[in-house]
Amino acid sequence: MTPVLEIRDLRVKMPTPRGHVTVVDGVDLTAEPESIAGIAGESGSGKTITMLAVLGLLPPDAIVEGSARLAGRELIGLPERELRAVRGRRMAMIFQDPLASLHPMLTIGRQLTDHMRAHLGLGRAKARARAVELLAEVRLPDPAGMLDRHPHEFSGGMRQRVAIAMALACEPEVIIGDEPTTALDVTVQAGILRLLDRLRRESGVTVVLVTHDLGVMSALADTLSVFYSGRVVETGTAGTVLRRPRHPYTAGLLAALPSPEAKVDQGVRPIPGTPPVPGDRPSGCAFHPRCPHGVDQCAVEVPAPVELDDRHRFACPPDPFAAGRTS
Amino acid sequence: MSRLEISGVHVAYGKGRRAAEIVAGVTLAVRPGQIVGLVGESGCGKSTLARAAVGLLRPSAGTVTFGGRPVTPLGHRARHVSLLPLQMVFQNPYACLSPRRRIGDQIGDGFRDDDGGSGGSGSRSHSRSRRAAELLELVGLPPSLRERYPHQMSGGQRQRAALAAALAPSPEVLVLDEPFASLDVSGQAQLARLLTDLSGELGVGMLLISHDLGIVKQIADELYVMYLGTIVEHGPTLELWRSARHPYTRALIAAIPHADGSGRIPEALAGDVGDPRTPPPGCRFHPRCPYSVEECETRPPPLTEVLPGRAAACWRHEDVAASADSPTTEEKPAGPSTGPITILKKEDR
Repeated sequence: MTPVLEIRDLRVKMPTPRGHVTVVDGVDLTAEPESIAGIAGESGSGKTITMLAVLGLLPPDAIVEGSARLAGRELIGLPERELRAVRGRRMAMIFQDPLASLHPMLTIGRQLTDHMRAHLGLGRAKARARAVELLAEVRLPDPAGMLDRHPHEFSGGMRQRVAIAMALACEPEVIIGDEPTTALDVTVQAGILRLLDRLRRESGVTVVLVTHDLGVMSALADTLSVFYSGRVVETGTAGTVLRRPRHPYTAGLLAALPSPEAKVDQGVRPIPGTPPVPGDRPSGCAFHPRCPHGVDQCAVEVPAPVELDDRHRFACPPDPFAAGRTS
Repeated sequence: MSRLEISGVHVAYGKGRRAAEIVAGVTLAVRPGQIVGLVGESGCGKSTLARAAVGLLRPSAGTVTFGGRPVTPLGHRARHVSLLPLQMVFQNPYACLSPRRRIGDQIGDGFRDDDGGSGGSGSRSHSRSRRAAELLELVGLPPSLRERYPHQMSGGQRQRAALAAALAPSPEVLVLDEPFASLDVSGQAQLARLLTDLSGELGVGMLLISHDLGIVKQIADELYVMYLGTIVEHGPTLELWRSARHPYTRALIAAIPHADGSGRIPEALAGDVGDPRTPPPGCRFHPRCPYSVEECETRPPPLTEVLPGRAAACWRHEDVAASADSPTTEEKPAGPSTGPITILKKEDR
């Protein structure tokens, strides 16, 4: 199957007062049709910058190299005019804070229909009818009545449903969700997770899900790529990566999560130290100063990815978690 | 003997028809060395309760005492010295640290005069600087950070620096409002470990307020679950986690996603936290409750002891206890509704 989204060797350098700093360093990522591709990592790991680069939303003085193809078509270096036709129409984005992507003074109906009239050329009545369908699709009660309301009249969970309806409006091939449930209560988050799962199955949209929350990844993602300091350190099916992590950073993140049981000793085992800031990345493997399994070569060589049969790849040649080894 | 006692506290905002009772009668206590977790969804009144607990808000009814003395807001006058060992760590460390002063000086503000060193002012300032360095080390930061300003630190470092400042007057009780909210996974785990150590080694009692039951249940000795201004259940953490008696506690637990690679989607709870200006009659949770019966719509259930050391406010707590799992609900409209109960599972990978 041709991937819907294929990112190859993407590099991004962002401008800082001290010159350009590499924040994304050779990222590969593939999203198959109708799948949910997860991107995990802590803040500053480059996961959001990667997606903004794909959408052409970085500031003009950022340097972007490499390739990102949407259904075979190269996006990197595309003129702004053509990018505008891609954004919203063929790729849509859902942000952490839905208030930031909704206009506070305009009704929900106006915002949904403007979008469809601009991109799809629908007439006023048709756009309005489709807006009602979309709000029903994301399970908002009384969809027709919702159209005349303003964003502040909705709760956080309902706003995020509106933002998802807007993302779906033009039937995009790819929806990028950047921490779409992070600002929500867990009870509300679970509803949004169910919604995204159903949309993926029913409308066949591909979702790129960016979040630091590995619990959310476990619930939704088919594939999972773990970012650390601008590089993908481990990738594979979500089940494999979460159950049998091979990179010490993935293993460390999982051990740092609260265990499913309460009040157990060593319930959380923090990774020592802090993630590097962009521009101050350690030599060799960027994780080596925090890694309990490091060997001498880790501080010198950027680790080459080790590839296993089931498309499970990880950038840790010492492979401390290989079967048969005690870690 | 409890250090911090909150007894029948109500907090109301506004007047007349706009009046809203954000906290509607909460009783809880924190003993030395004990971590008490207070969890609930946003809008349930937990942050308001935190502010009442340290005397930043005046309760409209009920009392807060610290070591037997009443905790009351003093307006613009200084806080009574006896309240110094009651400290608060705020959700946003940027908002409680001055952007214009060095971290070490801000930590030094909190030292009590009697333990700031003796002799001339020179030796006192030297001793303060040394003790600020010790506190930074205690919270896992390099002592050199005392020369820095808040903007020169990362979010996780600022959260720890704010904690160090709260520890300066040698507190007996800390009230922490969403301390994990601004941190990454590894930062959360580090802070959880640190709080456990502080309560164990220094005997600091803590009221730990968070919407994240997943992390709170890991370190809290006791849990209080709050819904729309009231406590709906409390008891020892492990017991509550394993056999919750209130449907809301069950819903909170069932909604937590686990990174087990199983592909299981957590259970959603339909509807939103109600409006505190017009709380539902009867049990405040009944519009969202899968166990709701007629009685729940008219009579508010009292918080009663259901087992030794455990209390729940639910007319049907015995039925809840008898059901093995919480009922599974299909994805429902975001508004209050009562749809059919079916099971929706993600296909196995």
